[in-house]
Amino acid sequence: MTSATETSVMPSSSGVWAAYRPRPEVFDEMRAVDGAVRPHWLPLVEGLERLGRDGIRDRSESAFDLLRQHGVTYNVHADGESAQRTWKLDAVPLVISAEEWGRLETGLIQRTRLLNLVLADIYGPRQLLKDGLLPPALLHANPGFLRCCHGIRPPRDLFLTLHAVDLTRAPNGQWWVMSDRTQAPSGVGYALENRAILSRVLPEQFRESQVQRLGGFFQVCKAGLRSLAPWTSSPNIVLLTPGPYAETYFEHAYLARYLGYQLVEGNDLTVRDQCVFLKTLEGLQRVDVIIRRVDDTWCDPLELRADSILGVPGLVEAARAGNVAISNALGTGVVETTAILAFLPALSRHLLKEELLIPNVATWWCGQESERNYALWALSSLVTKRAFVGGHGEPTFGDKLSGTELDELAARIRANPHAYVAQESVALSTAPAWNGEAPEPRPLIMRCYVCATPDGFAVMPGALTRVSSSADSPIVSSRYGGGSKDTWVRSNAPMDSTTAIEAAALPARPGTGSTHVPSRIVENLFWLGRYAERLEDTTRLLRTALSRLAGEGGPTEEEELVALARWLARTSQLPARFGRRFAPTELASELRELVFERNRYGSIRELLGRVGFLTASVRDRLSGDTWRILNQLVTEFPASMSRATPGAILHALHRLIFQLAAFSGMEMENMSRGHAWRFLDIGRRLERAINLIANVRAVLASDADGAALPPLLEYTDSNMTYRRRFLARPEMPTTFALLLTDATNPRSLAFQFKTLGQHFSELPGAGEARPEESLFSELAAVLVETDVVDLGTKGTAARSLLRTRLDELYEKSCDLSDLLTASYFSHVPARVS
Amino acid sequence: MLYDITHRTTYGYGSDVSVSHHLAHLHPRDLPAQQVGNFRLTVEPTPVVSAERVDYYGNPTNFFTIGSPTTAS
Repeated sequence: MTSATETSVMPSSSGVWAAYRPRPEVFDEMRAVDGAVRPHWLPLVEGLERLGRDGIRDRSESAFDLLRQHGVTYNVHADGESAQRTWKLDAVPLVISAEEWGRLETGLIQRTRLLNLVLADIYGPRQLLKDGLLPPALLHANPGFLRCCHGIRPPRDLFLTLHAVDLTRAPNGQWWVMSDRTQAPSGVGYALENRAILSRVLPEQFRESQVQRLGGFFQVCKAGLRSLAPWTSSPNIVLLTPGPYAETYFEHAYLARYLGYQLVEGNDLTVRDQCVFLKTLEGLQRVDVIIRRVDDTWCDPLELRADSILGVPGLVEAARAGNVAISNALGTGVVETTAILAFLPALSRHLLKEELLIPNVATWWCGQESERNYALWALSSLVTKRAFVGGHGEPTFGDKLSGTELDELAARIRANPHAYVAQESVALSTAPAWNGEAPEPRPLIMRCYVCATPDGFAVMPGALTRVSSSADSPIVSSRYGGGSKDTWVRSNAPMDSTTAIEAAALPARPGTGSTHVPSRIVENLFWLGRYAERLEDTTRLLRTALSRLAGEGGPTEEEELVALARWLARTSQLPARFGRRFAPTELASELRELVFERNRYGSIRELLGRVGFLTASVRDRLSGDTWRILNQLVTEFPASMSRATPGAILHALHRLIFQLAAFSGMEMENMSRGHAWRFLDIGRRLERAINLIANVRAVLASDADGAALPPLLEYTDSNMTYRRRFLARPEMPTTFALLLTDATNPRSLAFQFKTLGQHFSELPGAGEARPEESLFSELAAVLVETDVVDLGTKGTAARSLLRTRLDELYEKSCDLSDLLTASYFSHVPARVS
Repeated sequence: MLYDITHRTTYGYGSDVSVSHHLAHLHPRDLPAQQVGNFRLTVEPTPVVSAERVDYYGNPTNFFTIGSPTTAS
């Protein structure tokens, strides 16, 4: 595969390429040793020359803007703090000739076939162990070898449906395999996004270079995934992600959208009768194929890591029963170890009767004696890796170590030889990368992808190429700030010019329609509604108390404060001693704690934390403005105000109320009326109803002289209405009527029930006599029977009757929340849609 | 020597559990020095799914699911 003779044109001595000087001892992708440009690079090199430095700088900036607009990110956890980094894309792509690509394709497919056969043997007859072609320790010391998956035969015996291979090119022009990604290979989505952006930023160069399109690869990839579920003609395929904190979450969301599959988390799936189901509002929906981006040991807490909350209990059993296909199959991580490279040439001769077409970088597994001895002897010139930590083992470069460091490394290897692999140190090939001023040669690794098709395998005509962060850094990794490149594979046939750019993912997201919204999303919105309302409720209550402490409560504030404290002691928001006598300073410090103490259940701080967490989990369902309001409200609230006066705290609470009002306004005005919004509002209404009942009940029980009524009206924002209507000092019957049975008051219980009733009639399965519907009818009936006007005329008997009614309303409202959870979120009993 | 062993495991939960999957490693295996005359596993409430199989090491195991069976609507 050398191409040293394919040289033709020398670049001009001035201009963009004047200072591009690759090191003579490494292979440069663009420029041959004699300085000439390799012919397949010519359209690009000349195109960039025409653009000039300023032109390339502009294009590079547009690429950066597009990445930001599309929200292409990579979550970095390497520095302990998690941070979202914008994905880096170099303005200069890597170009590969059609002839060379043809040879690579054949070699890559051979490799995927080989690894599939190795996996089928490891999880089947284990003949390779018996024949001595694989040392038993390579399996048994390997955490990627999942014993519970032994004997599971995936559909079509396909263990690998997507396989990624990291390639590098040696100084002699030969491509070498550095490593394989076999369980949940990442990067195809980034490669696709790179292409979508670069084909827009450099349209002329893209057209003139006649670049092979990526779209066709994803079409056959989808066909391949469909073929994994022969039991159905329209398989339901989902992409399983660990969630928004995963390193490559952007890619999961992007690919799901591009391929048209539902993006799900472990919690969205449930195993019943050895089949996998997606929990949706409409009921359980059978899942046939899971593309998993969760590492296999995390996939099933029952049979794999018991501490995993990312997986689905019973998934292994469902796979064993042959009721679900998993891409890639569970257990495929076993061949991801670098150690296996040492055995592949012999395995290829044995299983395929072929030599490996793309050789491996020379690899010595220290679990074998003579290999270990060689590695220890040559340690200073080799690269050492941990054998069994997947892609996360950082390489150690022997030539960068001091004498003592080498001795320490050797001692570690001797102590635990199976865990180490030594590899030849390869001088990576370089390609031009834009450094902001000019192209400079940087080392690269090219990640290629092979997918299963209905009748074989196909290679993506392109790759995710990664370059190091500087011209002399040997580490090529997104984690350490390296960049990526689009990879242009040229075509011999002219490309259809009607599709001059590569289509990106559609902006539509799956599940925005009313059907099949994952239950997790609506459950989080339901709780966002409840906690946002609880936050507002608590803030209003505390404000009512603080304003009286701050001397802003008018002439009767002292007696009102005492009545209010007694009532809050009754609802357990204040400790019981406040139901008796207390000093104002004592109450002030208690209230301050209820605002700022994050470890106190129900404090403003604690509730803000819950609202923040839920906001993050439903972020892609909220409009940008709504998200900003919620984010601001959580982050801007003062952390502590240890010496603040009640007045200053009051000010912070006022502000919080405004922000919460902005949130509910935004939600009412800007959210489309699907199930997502409906559950957010159900959460809010139900929470308001529960709080109102609890507070009215407490006032009824604790208030003898009516002093609690002004604070009660203030807290429910019903002061104005009451005064306008009754022009008198608040009385219990009229106050309670306004708060409980007056359906025109948007803060009343009757109003919450009216709204809830409308929502319930719109829910999936409405009218089928579901338990939450009949419970709700009972609730509404109890409220109708609740007569508060009697209170004034019939005295104690009426009081105790009202108390009974309120108790009943309270219990039933809480039960309603549990029933909603059972029916729509956890699916008990299960309904299959 | 003839042994008669009864083993009982009881689970208690803080709240209602809708569905739960279990894997029991209770069935002793036949070995040169050990023959299992009779083995019986009783689960209460009655599982909706129950499957016996042999694990990687050759031990018999029992997988069972308790709780809500799926009913098509």
